[in-house]
Amino acid sequence: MVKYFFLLFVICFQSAISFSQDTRKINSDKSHVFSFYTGYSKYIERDDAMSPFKYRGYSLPLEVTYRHNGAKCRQIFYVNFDKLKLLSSLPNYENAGLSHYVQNTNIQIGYSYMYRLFRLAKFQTDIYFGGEINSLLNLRRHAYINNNEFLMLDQFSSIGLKALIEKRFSNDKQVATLNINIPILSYALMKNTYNAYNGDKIDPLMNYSGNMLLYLAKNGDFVSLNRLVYFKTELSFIQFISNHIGVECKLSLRYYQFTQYEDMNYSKNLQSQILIGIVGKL
Amino acid sequence: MKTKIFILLLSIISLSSCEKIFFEEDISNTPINNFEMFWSDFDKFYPSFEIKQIDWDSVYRINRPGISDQTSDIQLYNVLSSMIKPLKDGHVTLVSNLGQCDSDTIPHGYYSNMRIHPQNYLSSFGINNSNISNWSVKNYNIGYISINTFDVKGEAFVYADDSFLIIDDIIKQFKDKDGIIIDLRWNGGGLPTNVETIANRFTDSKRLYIKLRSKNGPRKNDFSDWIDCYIEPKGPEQFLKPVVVLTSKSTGSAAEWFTLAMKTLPNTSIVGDTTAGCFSPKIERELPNGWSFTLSSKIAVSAGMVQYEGFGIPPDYYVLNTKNDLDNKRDAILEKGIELIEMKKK
Repeated sequence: MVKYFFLLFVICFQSAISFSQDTRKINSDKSHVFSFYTGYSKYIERDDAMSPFKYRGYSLPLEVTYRHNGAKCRQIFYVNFDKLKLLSSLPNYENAGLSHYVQNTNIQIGYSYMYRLFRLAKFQTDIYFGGEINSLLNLRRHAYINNNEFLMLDQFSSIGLKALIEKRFSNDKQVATLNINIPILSYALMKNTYNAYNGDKIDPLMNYSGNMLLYLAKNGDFVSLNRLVYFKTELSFIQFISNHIGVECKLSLRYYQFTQYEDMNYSKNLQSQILIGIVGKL
Repeated sequence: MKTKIFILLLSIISLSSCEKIFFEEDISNTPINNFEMFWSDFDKFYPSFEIKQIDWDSVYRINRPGISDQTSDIQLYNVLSSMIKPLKDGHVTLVSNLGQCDSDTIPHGYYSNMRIHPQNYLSSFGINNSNISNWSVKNYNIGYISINTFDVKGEAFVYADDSFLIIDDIIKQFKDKDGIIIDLRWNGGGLPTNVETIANRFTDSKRLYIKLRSKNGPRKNDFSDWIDCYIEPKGPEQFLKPVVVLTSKSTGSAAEWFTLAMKTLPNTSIVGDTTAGCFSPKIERELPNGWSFTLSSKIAVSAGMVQYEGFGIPPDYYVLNTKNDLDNKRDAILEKGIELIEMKKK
């Protein structure tokens, strides 16, 4: 894995150097910034409706981001994708048909708009504040006895608050950002799920012959912080090698806790990522 | 630059240590914890203690004193097995590295779920796939359909399986038959949607056939409202002439849904043995030692609110195959089905 990251860094830097031609100032007021990332993702999840045990896994995530840097605003659009196998600490007895694993697919799409609230000129730092709309799908196939699988999911479409601190360094070729997003109101599927087959949303699916996901999507509920505790924070550092090309290292942490059933069952999911990306600026 | 690297390293360390902030420790693997989790999951999720007149609290009081940290795996397995055996529920199973304990009701030496030389009775093998196949009955103008499962491969909770739409071709082929025998004696269940795909081809109107409610909370009386399930005419044509459904103690779960659905029809008779009595979908839970167990999670009743969960559906004509029948290559249950259709024809 270390070799892989080293190789990735070398490729990024070489690409960046080969594209570096012009010498204009990098942090001009308006710009379009595209980033493509991959890296290392660590997942921990616990779905009480399925199992009281934690499942963990690691993967190679993919993320694409577009940022529009306006004179006084920042817009960010991103898509993040991850597919991995989660394992628990439970012993597996494969001869007896007991393999404890979860096949996890995670897709998150978001758009945020933030307006500059403060400029701390002395520190070359701007503070932005605004909102984000995002949609998260966490699809899990829990292993069942004899390798059968049972589908469970968390899906939230949320609107929330987002804050961004952006620091430019003196040489103007480096930018560091720290942002946090806290969804306030979400449209959530699978509310009141008691176990794998029982719940307000699952019960009518007993003999439902149509598209299950479509049915669930139409029958979601609006929830707020009392049922869904959710935040995502990112720390990023961009090193521009030319006026148009740079390399970014980003640390990301996302956590949510969805109250599936009263104060008893929770779906908890922690995703931490170290992403390395190529940045292109127009 | 050193500061930046320091911040980066600090951030990585912070990220990797977040688990303890957001997640509780897993329950440790001790015999006592395994016992407690097994008992309490049944206490929370199992809906039929009252129907089966089992006092689960007293099961705890009897068995808990025998468990300590010195209890061996085999002792624990035996205790847990003894707790679920009295439930007599085909959907209750304990799976471990030491073996599997089923809580079903099929007695040893039960011959009614044996395939007794179908070639003695059947000819003209017809349309088929791995789930459903059909023949004609020798010397009679009667169709025979064997449905081995209502399941689909590998999935516990998916949409209807198109492979069951083969029933439309079978109905077309059998439309001039005097009647049809549907054999469910080896059918252990599957998906209700597939049940309805088949049963919808035998009804002339929309009929309520089963009502379910879920155990949807930890208290003893936490149940959802009843959910009604219907069959209704679907497909290019329906077969409305006499139908006989063959059942055994191995006819379970979704196959019992099908039996209930067919029982609502005026031209249908049930022949064979009482079914397994496990209508509910089953859920799986895990124990700290890696063992898993399944249990029912719902209660089902017929359209007339008759409780068959735990008891099974009694046939209209109670016929059993015996060891003697097996030795003489005779299928008394199938013969009774043929006789009934011949009688109704007249």
